[in-house]
Amino acid sequence: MIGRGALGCVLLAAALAACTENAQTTSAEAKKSDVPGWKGGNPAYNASGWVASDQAAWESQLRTRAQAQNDYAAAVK
Amino acid sequence: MARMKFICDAERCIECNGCVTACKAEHDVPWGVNRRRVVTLNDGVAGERSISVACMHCSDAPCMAVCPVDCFYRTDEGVVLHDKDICIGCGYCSYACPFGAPQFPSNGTFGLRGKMDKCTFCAGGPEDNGSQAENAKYGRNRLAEGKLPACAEMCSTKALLGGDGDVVADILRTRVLNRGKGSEVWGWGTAYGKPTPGSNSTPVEGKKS
Repeated sequence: MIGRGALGCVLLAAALAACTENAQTTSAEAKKSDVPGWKGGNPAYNASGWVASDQAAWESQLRTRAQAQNDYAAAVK
Repeated sequence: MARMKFICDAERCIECNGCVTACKAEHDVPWGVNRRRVVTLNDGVAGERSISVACMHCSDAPCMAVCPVDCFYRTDEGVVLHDKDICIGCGYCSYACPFGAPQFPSNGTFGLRGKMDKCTFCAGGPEDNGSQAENAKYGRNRLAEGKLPACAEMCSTKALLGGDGDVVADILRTRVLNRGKGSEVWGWGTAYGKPTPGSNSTPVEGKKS
């Protein structure tokens, strides 16, 4: 009798398992990890004279390039 | 570590829309989507001012906070990007953004709203740098090419400045000191937070008129 009741519980649990809801939140695995910009992309389109190497060189390149927007510095030269 | 920032100098912007055109052309942005646009305040009135507006890559981005599928991420340089493979096009980010940056292309016969599109600071997306997949979804990745955003580099009057926050803030400060006015930077306080006491690399928060 007890065994039949336990079997019934197991069957009921198995039947109700179909009613559970799948998680709808984004899992960490679903997110792609981005490659840092300093690692470079297609070298054919690189800024002239710049080759992707390390992060410090990339940051230096962007700082130098940003100075092209400084027309006061250009006027002094 | 560089922190990428945009600044628009309202004393210099002449509403030429060169930045808008540069962005559209560089990234082949679809019709109806404007990652960048020029807004004119007090248009037609003496003393009108124009500013170029796009995603400001906020330090504390509200779009990231409200996204129900968590599709946004921030790069080490402070550029706010998103993954279009995760985005469901719900539009929450567009309501949260104080700059109107998130854009939604109309797709199909019934004009269904597509996945969100916005300024990437020319840093592409999560696909491989410079890949065709990245270009098709997000446009060109200029940062990985050692370049700065096309809008800022193409600006004819250098009103729109983009790059390392310390460098562009220094450039603006030099201008303000030379001309004696125009320290107000639209959107700075909202996007990047209040200036820290004692810091001389951050422009003064200005009024929005």
